[in-house]
Amino acid sequence: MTDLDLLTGTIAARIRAMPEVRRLYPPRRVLLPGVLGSAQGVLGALAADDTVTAEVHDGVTSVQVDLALTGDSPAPEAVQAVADVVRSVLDGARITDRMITVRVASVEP
Amino acid sequence: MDESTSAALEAIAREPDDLDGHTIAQLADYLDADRTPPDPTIDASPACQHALAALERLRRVAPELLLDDGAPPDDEDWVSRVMGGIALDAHAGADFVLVDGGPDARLVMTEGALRGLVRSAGDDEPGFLMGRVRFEGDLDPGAEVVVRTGVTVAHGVPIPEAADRLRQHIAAVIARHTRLRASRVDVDVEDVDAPRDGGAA
Repeated sequence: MTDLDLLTGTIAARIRAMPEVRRLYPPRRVLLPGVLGSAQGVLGALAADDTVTAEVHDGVTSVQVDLALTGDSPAPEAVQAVADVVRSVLDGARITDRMITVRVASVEP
Repeated sequence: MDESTSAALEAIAREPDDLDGHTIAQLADYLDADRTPPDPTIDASPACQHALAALERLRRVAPELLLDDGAPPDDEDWVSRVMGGIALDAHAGADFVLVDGGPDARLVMTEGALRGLVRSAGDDEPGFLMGRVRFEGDLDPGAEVVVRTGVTVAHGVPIPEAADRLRQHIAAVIARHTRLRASRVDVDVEDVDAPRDGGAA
């Protein structure tokens, strides 16, 4: 299991535990076209948990989360809370060069 | 599923990409089977989940609109139109920025999710069943957006008052779950369920 596997697994577990989140979806675009296999690009792109992806490209770790919210909290606050959870995990892994994408795919009361 | 609904579902088979490779008829069958056995390609698809939620609401609301005399629905065109709207609106569409995430985060919602919210709000209003849902204008944070909806209204519902409630409900949902402001909510009444005795609606 790679470091990214552990990272995505941890992120997914923590997000699933959030009351604002109904479920995680497999990200709509798992990898950028052409990134996988480029000589300079990917250091690792495998995800142990296929509902959260992480990839490293040119030193920047990109994490993508697609999810359904419960609607109990306003969506803007909920996605900010999700991003904070991702930041917390990345901080713990000392990953400072990062880009987090949180996409609300549905709200399911 | 009755024959007219089945025929309507067949008539509106969508391109597979609309629902991540599934058709609205397949999703109706999946609901009929109580979502068993679980199909991960459906369960993991936001578009399919939108469509399933809309189909469930349709089944909950349709009796109020069409079956008040116990007769089965016989308006194939109406069913086709509603089902077609569900399939089209379930498509994820483009992302829009939900709220500024700072330099290290992009926090977005799909247009499909927003359509689903509006559709759900409309179906929650007694006597209404949502048809199409469209947005006009940018969906950037702080922007004003025009919401255009098509609805079926149950016979006997006072339309002006009910439409005002629907507008307020939709505007409130948008204000709660986005940084958009609904500058206008158009409610186009596309159908009024006529009484079965043939009297005027």
